[in-house]
Amino acid sequence: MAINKKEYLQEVLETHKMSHVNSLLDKYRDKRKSIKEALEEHYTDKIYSPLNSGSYAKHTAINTKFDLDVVVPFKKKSFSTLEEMFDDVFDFLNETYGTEATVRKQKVSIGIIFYSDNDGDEISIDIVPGRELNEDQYNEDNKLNLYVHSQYGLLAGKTHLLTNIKAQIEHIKSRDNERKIIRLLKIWKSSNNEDYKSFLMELITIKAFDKDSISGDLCEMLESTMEYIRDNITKDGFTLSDPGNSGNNVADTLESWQKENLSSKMKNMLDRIEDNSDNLKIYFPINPDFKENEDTKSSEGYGVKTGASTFSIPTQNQRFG
Amino acid sequence: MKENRLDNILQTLDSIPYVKVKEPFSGEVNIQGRVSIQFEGLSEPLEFYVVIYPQYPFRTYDAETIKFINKDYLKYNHVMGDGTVCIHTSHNPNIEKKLLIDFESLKNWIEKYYINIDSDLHYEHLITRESDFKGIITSYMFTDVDYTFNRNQFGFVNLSLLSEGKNGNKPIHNYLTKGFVDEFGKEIVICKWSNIYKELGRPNHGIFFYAEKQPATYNRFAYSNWKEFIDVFTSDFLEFLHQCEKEYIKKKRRGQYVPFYIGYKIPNGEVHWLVATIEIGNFPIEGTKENQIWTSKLLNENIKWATSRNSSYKYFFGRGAFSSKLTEKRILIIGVGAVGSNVARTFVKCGCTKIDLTDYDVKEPKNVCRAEFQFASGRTDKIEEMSNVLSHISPFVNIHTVNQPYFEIMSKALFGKDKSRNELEDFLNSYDLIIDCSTDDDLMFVLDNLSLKSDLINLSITNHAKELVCAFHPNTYDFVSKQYSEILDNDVEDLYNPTGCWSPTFRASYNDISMLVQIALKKINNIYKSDSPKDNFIVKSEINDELNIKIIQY
Amino acid sequence: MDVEVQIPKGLLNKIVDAGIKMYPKEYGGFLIGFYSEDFKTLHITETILPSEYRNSKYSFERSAKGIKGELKRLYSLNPKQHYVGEWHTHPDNSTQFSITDLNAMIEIAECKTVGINNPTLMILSINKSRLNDFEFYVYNDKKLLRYE
Repeated sequence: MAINKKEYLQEVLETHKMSHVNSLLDKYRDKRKSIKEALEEHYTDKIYSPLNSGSYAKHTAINTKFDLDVVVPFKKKSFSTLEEMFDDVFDFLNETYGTEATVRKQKVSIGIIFYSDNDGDEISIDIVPGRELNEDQYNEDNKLNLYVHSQYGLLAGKTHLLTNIKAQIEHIKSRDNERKIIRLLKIWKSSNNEDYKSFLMELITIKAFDKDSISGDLCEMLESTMEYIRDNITKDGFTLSDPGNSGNNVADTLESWQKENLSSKMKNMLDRIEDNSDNLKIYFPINPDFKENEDTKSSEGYGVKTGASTFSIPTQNQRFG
Repeated sequence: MKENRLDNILQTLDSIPYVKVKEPFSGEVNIQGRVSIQFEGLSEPLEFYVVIYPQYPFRTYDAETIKFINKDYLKYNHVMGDGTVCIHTSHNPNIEKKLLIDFESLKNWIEKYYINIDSDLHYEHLITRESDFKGIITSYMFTDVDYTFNRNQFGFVNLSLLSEGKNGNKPIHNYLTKGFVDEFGKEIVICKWSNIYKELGRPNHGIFFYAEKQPATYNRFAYSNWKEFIDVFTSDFLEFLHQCEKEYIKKKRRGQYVPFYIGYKIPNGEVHWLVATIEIGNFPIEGTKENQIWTSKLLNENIKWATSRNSSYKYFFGRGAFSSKLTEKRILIIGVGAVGSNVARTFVKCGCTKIDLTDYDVKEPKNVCRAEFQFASGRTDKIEEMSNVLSHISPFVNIHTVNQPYFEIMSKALFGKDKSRNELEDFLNSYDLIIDCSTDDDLMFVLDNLSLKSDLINLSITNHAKELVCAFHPNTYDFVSKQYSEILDNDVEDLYNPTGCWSPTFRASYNDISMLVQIALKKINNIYKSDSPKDNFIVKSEINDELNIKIIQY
Repeated sequence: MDVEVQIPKGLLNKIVDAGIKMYPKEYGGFLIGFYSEDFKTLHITETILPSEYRNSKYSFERSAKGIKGELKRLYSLNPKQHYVGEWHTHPDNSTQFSITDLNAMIEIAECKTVGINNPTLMILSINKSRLNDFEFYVYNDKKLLRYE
């Protein structure tokens, strides 16, 4: 019953594309837009333009589990402390959306989960308030200080986190292969209920590609990345530096036993897939909601009109908005 | 031949430098004599009377067949009441070698307990000379209580006759100690058995006195004569004893026995009870008149000790149990067929005490061969049968049976409705661990969609018991269904489909199933014990040329 | 659709520079490139800037006047490079396409002189000095799909 691993994984990615959930995504975008506008109207010149971040912005989102993230960059003088900023944004969002959504403080963000609509969809948007590190420098250096909500001691005693969201997004832009592997690992994470942080999986995948010259087809790249994780995550001195703040070693967010577990999980997965390629279906399931029938399967690429050549002359006058 | 044996013994003794024969060895059946032992470090020689039984060098009834006896050494550790030094040596079929080993062992005892007067860290219960009452052996089991007795406290003990059986060729009456009440009949404390044992019928009662200090000579031998209790029992208590006897006689119970519990503290802080039987009409007391006042005095009479056993949880499961991280859990087992009943029984045997069961099915004769059921109870609800089986095993397990129609309705008919979903979640979250052995795909789907705080493990077996699939919530439904549909080679053609049966089942024997279940439970226990990640696994057994069992870790 | 798009860093910089020069007004141009043999990957190789255009902070209208010669030249190269779509900036705004943008792409795809079914739209979010973000969309059957 052996399957073609590469083709199978391509189908997995295909069935997890965000484009399958466009109408849902539109709802997310509408909510995000209205939240951004509310924030801009309320905070006016205290903030710079809110910025989309998170997996959707990074092109690593999967349609089975996602939210949209918005970073709100505050000016240095807007608040005297990060905590004040965090609490103020929370209060404002809670006042504005408290009747139609659950608004809650999370580690570095404020989560807004709207009550399910008529279609049963629950829209969730995360708002990440950050304050520029240097006065009037945000547009130049993109450096932000985030407040770390104390209930979640990311690193013991730490109350703020320096980051650069733009640098994080840049880090992964134009890395097509890495993004595919990241999405596969996120599919594994979500379908097998693993709670490793996506950010960590992203960084380790990129590091694997940088250090290990990963190549071959989709499955070979996936397996090489998993081997890299298996062999390296538990090593002493293994670091995953946050592209938004090189002083922040994201590998430190895992306890050593968690690293051991991650390594042994990778080992088990690789062993099982080698025993029987059907085991890919256990770890990387197809999203059955968007599985296409064999005969209508999309093998479709860019189309050329029947009888035409690709030589085209565009429309004479065209207006864009 | 006889002479050879005696010669052999004498020659061997002669070869041991620290042994001198003081009285020549002789005997037709038992060979007996006297030796003295002298070696460096021993200030003066020690003498022992030696008996060698005809079984020697083999042990019999789990005891050595050579004895070294001297009653002068009773105060030293590991000397029995008859003056026998207690040695445990290794097996050797050769008489010369065995003698060398045994004398070496005696020498070790002398060095350790006679010269160095070692007291073991390991405490041994008092040695009692047990005797029957008019041909009936009585035995008393007790367990922990949440109560601290005061010195000289006395009153009554509530008992239940647990069973009557045979011990050797004598009848034995087994009693369970249920609780303690004061002299006026007011409850002091109930013993920590499971509910079913707390409520056991066939009531009986005895008398107790808490001495606190152990009633023993040399800290090892329980008193053998009532006179020895002269400084232990209070006059209040003797008066109580006297009044009790009067009452018993009034109730025409003369000649029957009353169990008499004497409690004391052992070095680890536990309370231990020795139990003697005293005959109504012949209590070991007499009234004497001093200064115009009648008082009760103890008589110079031998004590008839009965058997008493601490059967508290710690002793009951002392030889081996699952990790406390598992045994302390409140557990629900869904489905008690071949797999579920094996799981339930193993949990109970391994120390779990809080187990609830649910199953809609009735035990049929054909179920007995591979589940933990008994033929004797006939056709009965499976959960009823299992409750009985499990309660018979452990006096600490509380089994509740879940209302099956409620469970079925909540999980199936009303699934998807918010209110009942929450109700089902609340119900399941009241457990720490749920084991789903129902092989009910619909139920698995429902449970997989719940948000549970409790752990849930799904166990199922493929046809011919080739594999056992173990999946942890929330990775149950997809994993298990894919294993059966895509990965494992589950033969769904060759099912057992007997005449007149509408429900085909997989083919496998008790041995096939319980082997897989035991391996899975061993692994599950280890996961809890070591806080390992709860990752799904398969236990696979293959017979090609050889039996091959492996665990496939996901 | 199961397709990819690739753009060289240098070309991206060239487009960004052209866009920033026009800040705070929108600006745009034509995308030139070729498809891989299996028609799964689009390689963008060049941009042609319009010779005539009208623009404001919220709109951009370009003309195709005078680019035919250049298109011919590009088509004679190996591999043949051709018109594959459009790009324009959204100064101080997101990379999300507007209804106007979608309508424009419908018209382009349905234009008789355009031989491709799935033209690409690239939107760049910029500010006065730099690129905030950019996004590619592929047109298919009256919809604009984000590349994944």
